[in-house]
Amino acid sequence: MNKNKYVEIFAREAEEHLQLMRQGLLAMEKGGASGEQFNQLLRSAHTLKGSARMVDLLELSTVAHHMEDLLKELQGGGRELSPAVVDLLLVATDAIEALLAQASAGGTLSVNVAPIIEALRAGALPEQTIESAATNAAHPGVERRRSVRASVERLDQLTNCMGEILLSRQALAERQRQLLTLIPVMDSFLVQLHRTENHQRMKELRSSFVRIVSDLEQDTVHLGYQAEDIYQRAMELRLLPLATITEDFERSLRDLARTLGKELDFTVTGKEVELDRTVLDLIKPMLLHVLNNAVDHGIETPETRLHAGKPSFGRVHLSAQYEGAFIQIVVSDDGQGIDPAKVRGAAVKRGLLSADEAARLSDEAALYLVLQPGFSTREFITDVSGRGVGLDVVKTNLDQVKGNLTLSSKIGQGTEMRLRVPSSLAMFTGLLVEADGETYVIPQQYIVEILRLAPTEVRTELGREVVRLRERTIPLVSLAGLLSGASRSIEDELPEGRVSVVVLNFRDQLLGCLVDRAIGLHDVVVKGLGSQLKSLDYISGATLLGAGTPALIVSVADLYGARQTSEGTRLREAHAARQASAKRGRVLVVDDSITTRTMEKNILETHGYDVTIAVSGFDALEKLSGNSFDLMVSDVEMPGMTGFELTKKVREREETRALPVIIVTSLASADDRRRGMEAGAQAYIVKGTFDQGVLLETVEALID
Amino acid sequence: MSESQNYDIPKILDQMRADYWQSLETAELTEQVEQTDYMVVAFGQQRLGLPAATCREVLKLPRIVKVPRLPRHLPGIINLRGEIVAVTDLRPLLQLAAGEPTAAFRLVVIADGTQKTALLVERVEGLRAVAERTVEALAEGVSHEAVDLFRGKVEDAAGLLMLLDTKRLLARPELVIDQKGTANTLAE
Repeated sequence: MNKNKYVEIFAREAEEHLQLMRQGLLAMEKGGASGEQFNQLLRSAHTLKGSARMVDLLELSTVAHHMEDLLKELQGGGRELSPAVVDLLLVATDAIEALLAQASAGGTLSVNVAPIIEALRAGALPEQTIESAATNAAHPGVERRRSVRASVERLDQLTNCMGEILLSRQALAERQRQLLTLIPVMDSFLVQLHRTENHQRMKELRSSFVRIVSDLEQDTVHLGYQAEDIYQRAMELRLLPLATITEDFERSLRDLARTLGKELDFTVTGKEVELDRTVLDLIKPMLLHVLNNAVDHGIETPETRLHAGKPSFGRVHLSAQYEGAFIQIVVSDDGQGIDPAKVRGAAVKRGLLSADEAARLSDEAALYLVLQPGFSTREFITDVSGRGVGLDVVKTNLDQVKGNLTLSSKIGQGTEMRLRVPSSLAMFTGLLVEADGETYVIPQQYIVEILRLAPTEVRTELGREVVRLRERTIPLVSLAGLLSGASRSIEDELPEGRVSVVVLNFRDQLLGCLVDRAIGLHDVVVKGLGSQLKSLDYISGATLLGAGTPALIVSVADLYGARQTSEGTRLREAHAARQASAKRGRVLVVDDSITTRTMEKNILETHGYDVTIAVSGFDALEKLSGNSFDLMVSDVEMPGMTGFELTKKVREREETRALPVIIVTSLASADDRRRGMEAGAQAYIVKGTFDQGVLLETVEALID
Repeated sequence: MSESQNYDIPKILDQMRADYWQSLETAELTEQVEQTDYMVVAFGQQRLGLPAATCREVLKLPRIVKVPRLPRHLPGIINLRGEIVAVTDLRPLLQLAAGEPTAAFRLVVIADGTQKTALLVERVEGLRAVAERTVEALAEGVSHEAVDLFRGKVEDAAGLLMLLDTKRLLARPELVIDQKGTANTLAE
């Protein structure tokens, strides 16, 4: 066992307690002591006593032990709380700090604690010497800290700054690219210089310039590597080994087994696996509950076990291993397993489900009922894990760490619970998707696959749209619909052609999430949403994309919560509507005036045409190249490219040569009409005489 | 030569001394006038003064990423050097017409304690010192929902300037969104 490592861990823990104790003692001196303050002090002293003993710091443990005793006396009223006693306790706190500093520095213990222990026993400071001894002890000359504590906020600030430097590097690369574009400019200037010395001069300038640009490139790349490296290191500062929490488990599980009259063999593998400190804090209560549950509910009494042909001691195993950016934590036991029938019964009895609903649940699904609040299969309530809160804690914490959990159990053979948590809450891989014009991030760990579906592959089941995937029926929800909270128009629902559906898996339940576009996987750094947005439905945080633009992170747990209540997708309906309009024809309306194009769009749409809008000639050409249209309606006077020029270009292109074009304009002269026809338009409608009848008739005539 | 000796030197010195003290006193008097610096911002004709002490910086309009299900006065979030900050549009709160912001709009980042927001404004006029004694109360009987957001008004050369109380603004419940918190309380 690497003792130093544990001493370091203990030192960090102890510092927190020392700080708490100082605060408590000072508060006590000012205004007497509340019961809670006393309890806090007692807890700190008690923890220090126990933890110090574990890392073999016996003197420190003894001081803490006597502090605890004195505090108990004070609490019980056996001794009066006086400023002198508070002084004494503060001196003892200093002494512990000094002992700690020496232990951290790896030196031998040279602080003389005997007088302090004596004073704690007596409950008073006998003489001046103790104070000076402790003061000296608090500042031993040789002491050198080998670790410092930094708050998570500070680390966040550090990583924020590093993120900014990475962005600056991109800006530098862009500047360098801009400089490169100057080289051809110089070249063309060079050929214009006829005087030999000017030519020579410019040539030299050019080569110096090229050299500097190339140096700049190297420097930028170097800076980038350095910045990436520091960024990684800053992220790693937040990691701690799993051992920091499992040590506590061994003791408490042994005690629990003894109380319950069971024999236990608890083993841990993967103690060295490192996790983000915040993740560790969140999974600690969760693992403790799962383990308590295994000992309390899973493992049978030695007699039952022997009777069943098992060894008398029950095995509980905790293992952790890396899986990419995730940690797979498995808790398994060889106990009696979870009986789905019993679980169903208990759930019905507690009113969590109707008997009907329970009967319809598969055995696998029934297992997950044990995660519901207020659930316990035990007939009587123990003070360990039968209160029906245990596994619910697991669920709540998992949602917070964006973890996933799977349960499997065989009656008579044992239960296995797999937790998959991100090794760091600060960074994960996510799929960038587009919905309603914004980019969102879905954590990759929940994603099974991305489907490209034709609307005809969507089925309807009980009024909701579903897809079939490998023998499973998956309900569909629309991300944009859920996020906006309003039903979207049918057109928005259905982009061109096939649709992208991200298939999610959360606690073994599949859900299809319709997005406008799946962009790709990216490593993202998680950010809070700031002081103003304390919590949002469907959103768990934000991140910054390459260019520094924020993107919101989708809370998959919330999506699942909403899948029953939301109205689901309407792909089939949208498809049917499109089919209907496709029969009448697809029209591209080009106009720079929003009034005109909206009017034309409305007229045509109400008559069953599928209308796409372009705001300029260039926009129109772009839209024409990606899609097929049956007709184009265009304005003449538009900035950049006139309708006549647009029509000419349409005629020149192979794929649009035959596309009928209607010119709608306020230019009414005969000359304008002639120019329109020359450009290749089939019809010419003057806005002054514009009425919808003429437009519709012309469109109809030209499409058929 | 002899005329110059007729100057009453001590008297002149006395006068100079008196002037000196006088000028010092006047200076002190002017200093005693309490002043507060305001960052003057505006929407159209409506000019607002933000206490400069709470203003952190003025930004050109970056890309504001919209956040679903937020009220109109919270149009979205921005990246402020690696930190996510929500944008507050005062126009709906002040019942001013709120069109799409143009590129000329600015964000004024204000902070008080732990609360921080980026206020969307149409233009920033600059810093202006306001003498406390010139601050008037808002007209009585003004039944404006947002009236408690102001600590008063002053008239200056450019017209009326409404002085915003940023502390009260940042403490307004509609500026803080806690959708899950509300949901939890309801469930309980």
